[in-house]
Amino acid sequence: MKKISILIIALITIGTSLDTLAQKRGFVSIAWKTGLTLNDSKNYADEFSLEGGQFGFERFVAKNLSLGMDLSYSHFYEESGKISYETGNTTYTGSGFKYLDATPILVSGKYYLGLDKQDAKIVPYVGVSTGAYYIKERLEIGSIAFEDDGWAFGFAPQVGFMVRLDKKAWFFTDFTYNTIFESGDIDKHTYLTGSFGIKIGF
Amino acid sequence: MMSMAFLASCDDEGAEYVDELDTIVTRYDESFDFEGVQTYVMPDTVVYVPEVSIKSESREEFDEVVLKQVAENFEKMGYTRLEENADGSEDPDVIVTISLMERDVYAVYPYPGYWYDYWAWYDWGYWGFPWIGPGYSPYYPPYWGVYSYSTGTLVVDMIQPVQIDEENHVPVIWNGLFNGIASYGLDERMLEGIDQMFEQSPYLSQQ
Repeated sequence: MKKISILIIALITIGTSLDTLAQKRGFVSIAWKTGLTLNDSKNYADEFSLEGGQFGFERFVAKNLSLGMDLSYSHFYEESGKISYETGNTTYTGSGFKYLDATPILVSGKYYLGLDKQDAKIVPYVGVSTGAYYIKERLEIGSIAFEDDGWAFGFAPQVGFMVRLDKKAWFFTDFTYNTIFESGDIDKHTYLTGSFGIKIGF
Repeated sequence: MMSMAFLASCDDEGAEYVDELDTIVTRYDESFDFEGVQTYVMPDTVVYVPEVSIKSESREEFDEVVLKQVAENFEKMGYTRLEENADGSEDPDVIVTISLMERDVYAVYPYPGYWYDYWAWYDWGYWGFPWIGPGYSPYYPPYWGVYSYSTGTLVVDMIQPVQIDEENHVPVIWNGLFNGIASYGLDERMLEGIDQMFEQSPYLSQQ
């Protein structure tokens, strides 16, 4: 009986919160994504990436707290000049071109600081996402290419802020630290992304 | 908009110029101990398999320059080249052959007739290996895998003709490839490619 009472109170509280957020039950977002590989991932492509995008959907489940999905893409590329690559008894040398592509499909949670204030103009937020990353590693040496691809599990804490543009539209930017665990032929990867985009409230 | 930008940027990625496709590959037999190898013989002719774009009148110069480049690298590695027309008193430890290919071939499965049609005229007996003759073929260890090299590949094989199996396979213990413009004639890139074969094969060194 006590548990049922707590559950009812919790539901009422959440319902009240959603009611007060009637004009911001959630966000859809779209962003341009930049990126930088870190640690051993630099061996795959060590140049700043300007190629990436993100689409997100989130819904508030409590005051200032949202849950949602993020689908994004980051493409890293490096022209390495003359390189040698040794594997087993074989060594390859030639002009090197390195590629690393990451397409994460993540469940995300975000906490907004002060979004509940009606006159909020700038709202910082923190979040964490976790889920599956589709990774493609490709190394071209001269006329030869080596490629691995597959799915791997990862997570990504993030911090950012958004600026109100009008009643329902916000500009946002955030930085996300992605950690992807080794899986099959896919090595462990870490990379940092910076996103710049628009969130639309609904 | 995003996808258009991506496609546009893709056009800028990867090899842009032909020389960026030049590839040097070397492989070696992991079960072979190179430490004891001191001497070698090398025919004074490049084998053209089957026919390549280099005109007949240019081949003499091509052969001379390429063989000299290979020989200089072996000398730096501490090898002694025995003359092809030696009196036979000293058998070489290994044989080095150079061939040029222009069509698709596979390293593990040599071009049909490759050995007999093109190399049979080598004087194996004079080098101290009279048992090598028609029906023999070079043999690349299976674990090297299949490597397809297409147009314009210069191939340097190091053969150790003493452990021939019952199917007359003559073991190749080291193999260097320059895949690029080799079939079109002499070029500085190819000579640098030959140097690179040895630079990335330090296990060959006898010094």
